[in-house]
Amino acid sequence: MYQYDKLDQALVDARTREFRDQVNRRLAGTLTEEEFKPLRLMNGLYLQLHAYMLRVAIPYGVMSSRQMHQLAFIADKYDRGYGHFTTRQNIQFNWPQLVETPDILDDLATVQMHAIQTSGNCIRNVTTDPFAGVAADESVDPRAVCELLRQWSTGMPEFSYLPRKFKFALTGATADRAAIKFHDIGLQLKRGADGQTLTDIWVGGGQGRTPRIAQLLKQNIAVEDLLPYLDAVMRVYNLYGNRDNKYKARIKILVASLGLDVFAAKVEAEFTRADRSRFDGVTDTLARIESRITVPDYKLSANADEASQSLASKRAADPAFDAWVKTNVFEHIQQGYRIAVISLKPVGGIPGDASSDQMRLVARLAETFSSAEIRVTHRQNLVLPHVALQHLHELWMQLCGAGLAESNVDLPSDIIACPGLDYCALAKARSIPVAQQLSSQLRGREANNNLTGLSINISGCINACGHHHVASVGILGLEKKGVETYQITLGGRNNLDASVGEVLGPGFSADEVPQAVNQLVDTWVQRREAQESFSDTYDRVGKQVFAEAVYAAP
Amino acid sequence: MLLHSDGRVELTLPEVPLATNTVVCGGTDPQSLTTDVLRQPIIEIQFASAADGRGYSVARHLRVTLRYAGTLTASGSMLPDQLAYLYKAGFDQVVVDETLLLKHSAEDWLAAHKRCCHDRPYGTQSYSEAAVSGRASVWQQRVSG
Repeated sequence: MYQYDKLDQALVDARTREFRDQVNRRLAGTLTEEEFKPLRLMNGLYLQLHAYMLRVAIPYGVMSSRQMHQLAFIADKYDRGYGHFTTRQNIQFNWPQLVETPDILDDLATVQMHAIQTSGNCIRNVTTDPFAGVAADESVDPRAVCELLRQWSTGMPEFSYLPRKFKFALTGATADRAAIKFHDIGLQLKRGADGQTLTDIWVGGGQGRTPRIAQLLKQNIAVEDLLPYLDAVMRVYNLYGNRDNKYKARIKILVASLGLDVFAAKVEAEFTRADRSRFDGVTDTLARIESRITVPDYKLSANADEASQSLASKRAADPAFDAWVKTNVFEHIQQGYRIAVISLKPVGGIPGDASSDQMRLVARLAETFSSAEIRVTHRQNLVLPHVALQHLHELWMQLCGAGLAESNVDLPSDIIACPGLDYCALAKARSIPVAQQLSSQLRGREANNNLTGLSINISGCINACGHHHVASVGILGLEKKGVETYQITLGGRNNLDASVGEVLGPGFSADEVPQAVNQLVDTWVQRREAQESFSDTYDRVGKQVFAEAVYAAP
Repeated sequence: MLLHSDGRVELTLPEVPLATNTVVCGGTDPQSLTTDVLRQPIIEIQFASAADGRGYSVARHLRVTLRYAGTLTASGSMLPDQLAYLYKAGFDQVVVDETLLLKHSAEDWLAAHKRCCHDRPYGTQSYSEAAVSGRASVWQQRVSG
C-alpha cells in the first residue's frame, strides 16, 4: 500500500490542527453551526439523529494492520467499541463527542489516516476494486491512479464548494467490482497496444432519487492527459451545475439536461484551451507514487503441488471449510496465493459492523497471513488480499472463533444496508432490522440451493446509500402516514452491464418483507435457467411473473 | 480591510481603485466575458454565498484559460477559513467589508490571514496548487527535492 512521505504527513497534520481550531471556535461560539457545518463536513463530521458521526477515510479501501489496530483503539476510546464499514470503503464511528473529534483526528494522523473530504460538496474518497493489484482478471492496477486522484483532489480550492458531493470510482479489471457506472465519474483503466495505460471516462452515473447509468464521455485518455481532462470536467460541472435545488445538483442532472454531446463539447473546449503547466511532471508524480506502493514479498511455496493437495484434502474433510473456500476465496494474480474475503454479514448481524475485538483479530490475521494488508469492499466486507494456499485453513479456523467465517460472500445474505433510521438523520425507515431478519431467513436456504447471482441491498430512504437501485432485489424504506413502508425493486445490476431496478408494485410493511423476498427467491429458483442471475431471469421472464407470485400470495 | 495573498494587510478599504473595479458575479458564465473585461487591471469576483464555489472556477478560468494577468479580487460572502483556498485559487486580494466584519471580527480575519500567509504549514498546502506567497505545491516541492 501507499506509504506517506513527510509532505503527505505535514499536510494531514496541518489539516488536523486547522480542524482543532475550528472546533474550538465552534465551542466558543465564534463560529455558528451554519458556518461550521461545511467545515466539519469536509472533515467527515456529521450531526446524526442521536450524536455526531465521524466518517474516516480508507483511501480506495486499502489499509494496513497498524491502521486497523488504531481504528479498534479509537472505537474503544471514543466510541462504543465498534465501527461500521461503508459502501464507499470507509469506516464510520457513530458516537463521538464533538470536543473529542480533534483528538481522534490526531490519533488517526499517527497512522497516516484522516477524515479529509469524506463528506461535503467536494471530491470524496476515491473508491476502487477491493482486489486491485491482485485480481486475476486485472489488466491495470488502479491503485497508483487512485492515489494520484486522492492527492490532486485533497485540499483542492477550486473543487471544494461544488454544487453537490462528487464521487470517483476506478477499475482496471474485466469484472467491475467498484460499480463505476454508478458514480459521478467512473474510470476504466486498460492497456493500450504498446502496453501504455489508457483510461475510458464515464460520467453522470449515480443513485439517489434519480438513478442514472454513467455515459461514456471520453475513450483512451493517456496518463499525462488524465488530470487536465478531469480538471476540465470538474470546472464545467462547478460552473454550470444546478445550485438552486440540491436534488438536481449532481453532475448526472447537468449531463442529462445539457445532453452528453454539449457537455462533452464544453469539457473539450476547456481541456484544449487551459494552461496545463500545473500538471507538468504528472507522469513523474505517478511513477513516484507507484514506487511508494509496497509490494508483498511473495514466497513461492517450496512445493506448490503439496500445498494444493493439502488444501484439497482439508476441503474434502471439512464441508464447512470447503463451503467457505467456495464462496469467500478468490483467484490471485500470484501463483500459490488467494484473496480471502471476510464476511461482515453474520446471520442476524448488522451489515458492515465490526467490534473492536474483531478489528484487532483481522489486523493480527493480516499480519500473520496477508503481508499486514487489508481491504474494504463496497459490499461492506473485509479482504485479506495476499493469503498463501497453505494458510487458508488456519486462517479460516481463527475466523470461525470470532464469528467472522460466514460463507456467504456474493450470496443473498451478503446484504448491503445503510444505517437507516437507527442512526441517520435523513432516513425514513429502519434498514438494519430488515437486513437482520432477511439474513437469518436466507442463510438457511443458501445451504440447500445454489443462490449465487442474487443480491439484496437495503436503503432507509430515497438517497439510496444502501444501493437498492442496483441490487437484484432492492428494498427502499419509506414513510407513509407515519408507518415504515418498504418498496421493492427488481433487476438492478452494478457491474459493467449496469441496470437500475424496476419497482415491483405496492410497498410492504416490515413484517411482510421477508415473505415477499421468499416468494421472489422461490420464483427465481423455479424459472431460472442454468446458472442465470436473478436479474437475467427477471429480464427474460418479465416483472409480471414475479409480481403475481408476490401479490397473489395469501 | 483589504487582505493580500502576499501577506500584506490594508486595514482600511481603499476607495480607489475598488470603486472602479470591474465586477463579475460568481455565477457569471466566464465564456461570456469580453476581451474588454480582460483588459481591465482589476477584476472583482463576488461570491453570493460562502458555499457557492463558482467564483473559484471563474477565477481559474480567467487565469489558466483566458490567461488574465491582472489583479483578481474576491468579495461578497466568504469565511475566514476560506482565505487559503481563495489565495491558492489565484485571487490576489480579498475584500473584507463591513458586512463580513459583522459576522467575524477583524481579529478572526487577521488571524486566518496570518495562518495562511505566515505560519507554515497551516491548512495552506495542497498537492497540485501553489501555496500562498509563492510557495510551491507539494508536487513541485517533491520535484525540486
